[in-house]
Amino acid sequence: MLKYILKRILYLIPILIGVSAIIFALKTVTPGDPARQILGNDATEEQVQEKRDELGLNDPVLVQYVNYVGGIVTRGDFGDSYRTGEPILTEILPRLLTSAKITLGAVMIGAIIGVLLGIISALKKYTWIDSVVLVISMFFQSVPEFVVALVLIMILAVKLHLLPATGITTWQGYIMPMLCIGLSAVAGYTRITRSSMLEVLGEDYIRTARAKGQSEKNITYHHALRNAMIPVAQSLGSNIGNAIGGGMVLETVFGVPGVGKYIVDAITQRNYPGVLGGALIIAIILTLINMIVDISFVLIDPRLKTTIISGGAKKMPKKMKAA
Amino acid sequence: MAKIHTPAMEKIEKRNAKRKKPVKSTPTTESWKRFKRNPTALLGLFVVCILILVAIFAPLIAPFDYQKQDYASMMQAPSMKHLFGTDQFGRDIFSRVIFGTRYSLVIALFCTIAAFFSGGLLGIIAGYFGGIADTIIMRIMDVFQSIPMIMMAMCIVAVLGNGIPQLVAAVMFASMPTMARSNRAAILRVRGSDYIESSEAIGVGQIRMIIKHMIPNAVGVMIIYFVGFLAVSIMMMSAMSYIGVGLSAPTPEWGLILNDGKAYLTSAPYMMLFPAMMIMITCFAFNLMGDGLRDAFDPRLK
Repeated sequence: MLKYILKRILYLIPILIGVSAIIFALKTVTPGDPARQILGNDATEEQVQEKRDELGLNDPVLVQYVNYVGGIVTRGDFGDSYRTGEPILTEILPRLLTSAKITLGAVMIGAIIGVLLGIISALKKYTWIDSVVLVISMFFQSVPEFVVALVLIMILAVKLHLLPATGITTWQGYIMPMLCIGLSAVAGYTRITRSSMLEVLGEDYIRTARAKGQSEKNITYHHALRNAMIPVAQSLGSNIGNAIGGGMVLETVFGVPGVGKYIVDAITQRNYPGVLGGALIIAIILTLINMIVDISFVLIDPRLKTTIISGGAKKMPKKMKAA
Repeated sequence: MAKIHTPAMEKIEKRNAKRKKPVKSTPTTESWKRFKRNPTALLGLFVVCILILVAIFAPLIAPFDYQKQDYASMMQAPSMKHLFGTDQFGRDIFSRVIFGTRYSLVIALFCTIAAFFSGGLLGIIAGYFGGIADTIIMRIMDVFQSIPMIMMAMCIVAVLGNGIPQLVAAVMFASMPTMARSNRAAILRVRGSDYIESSEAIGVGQIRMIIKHMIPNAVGVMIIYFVGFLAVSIMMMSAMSYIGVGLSAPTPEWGLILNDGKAYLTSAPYMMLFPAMMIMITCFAFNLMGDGLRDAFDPRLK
């Protein structure tokens, strides 16, 4: 077990190196001269050259990359904002909490509704209820979140004045962003729950439970559901990723001061360090979350070690058979 | 041996000629049969066909020039003259939405083709050759996947700037891991079959093997991903242009039309309602069709 956990942690290193390399590659092709950006248009050519030397922009690309990663690891230096001159990390940290709240709320809403619908459609399989559940959940999955958000704003905020259209000054402001991101994930959970429920219901231990004379309710909720939840829980990691991606757009639609809005604002303001630093921070957090999800589920259910290692689950390291 | 002709045999031959030829049962016809039985999938196909027709005949359908600004009729609510109303520049929103179909579908098609030629090709290579090539390609794809798709696309557009080629490139790079993974899976499923083994045994070359034997057999699954990804790229594209990244005005792309109406959400909600509806209908139709295709080509996946 310890060996698996260590391996999983070691697996982070190449991923993080790769992600930082992608972001660094994007950084090197950004238009404009960072030195000029910092000094402003009044600076002379010599001053700019001096600043370029100081920033290490005249070094070979590989040296620049090593310095970039070194700066992140030792000083948490993701670059400074062109807009305010503040380090990206200090600008983003307070926003992380807001984004985390929305992401967590959304994932929870999506998971709860999705699992409930999944159970319903598994128990009523091949009936009209099953098809209706599938079509509705698919609708929310296939329609972009921001369009759902706009329609919700039109109905709930503009027409009915039930919820604020933008901002999170009151707790009601959180409802619509969470709901929009959550609803888009419902279909995924419904589908996984449905198929894993159907699979589990065909297992031997369910037949044994039936033979013992357990009530059907007991079988569904105690025997089947618990086991059927494993693949659902495993998909949480990738769903958090989707929720963060969706959050980027929705934070802008709802005017929520989170990381997503920060990055989008940085894009429109051509604040490239803000964009790439923000993206890198999100990617690192996401990678860590995925690792924690993997490890915690292996701790909960050691059977998973084999499925994860042999590549049974999506998004899991597949070539770790040697473990 | 000469063929014998007797009156009775001629009669039988005549009868046989009148009969319909027996329908050859190939995997494709079987899939089509399954697809036809699925009402939601047919509905999706129907809507997609209408959208394609609208895109082709946009200049004939649209009553106004989508770029023409008419300051005499600004911000008009939907009426018989302007079905979807007019925007703040007096442009007819109905015409813009109709032309938007053209832009949205064509750009989505470009994005999907680009994604298939990059990520899909990588996936096919990884799946076919296996071993080290597979490990290297898939590990790189793991890295790409650590950044959420839309964030990746936005970062690339942020760096490259707005425009259609930049957008296509961004979607291509962002979708590479998903595309590679699904195409690899499609090839892997074919790779294990007996006929591939026997072709290998009779010494079929590698290129010929991939092109002649594997891709035709994996194409059903690939079509599913293709249609599914068309919807994904429409979603991504409209979301990005809505928040002002990707395409720039005055392209009548649906996301951009929404972006134009953003400021008037409370005073003139119709400006956003119709383009939003179009995005919803299109994405839903593509997904219904894609789901139907999945059930048709691959009943086991259901």
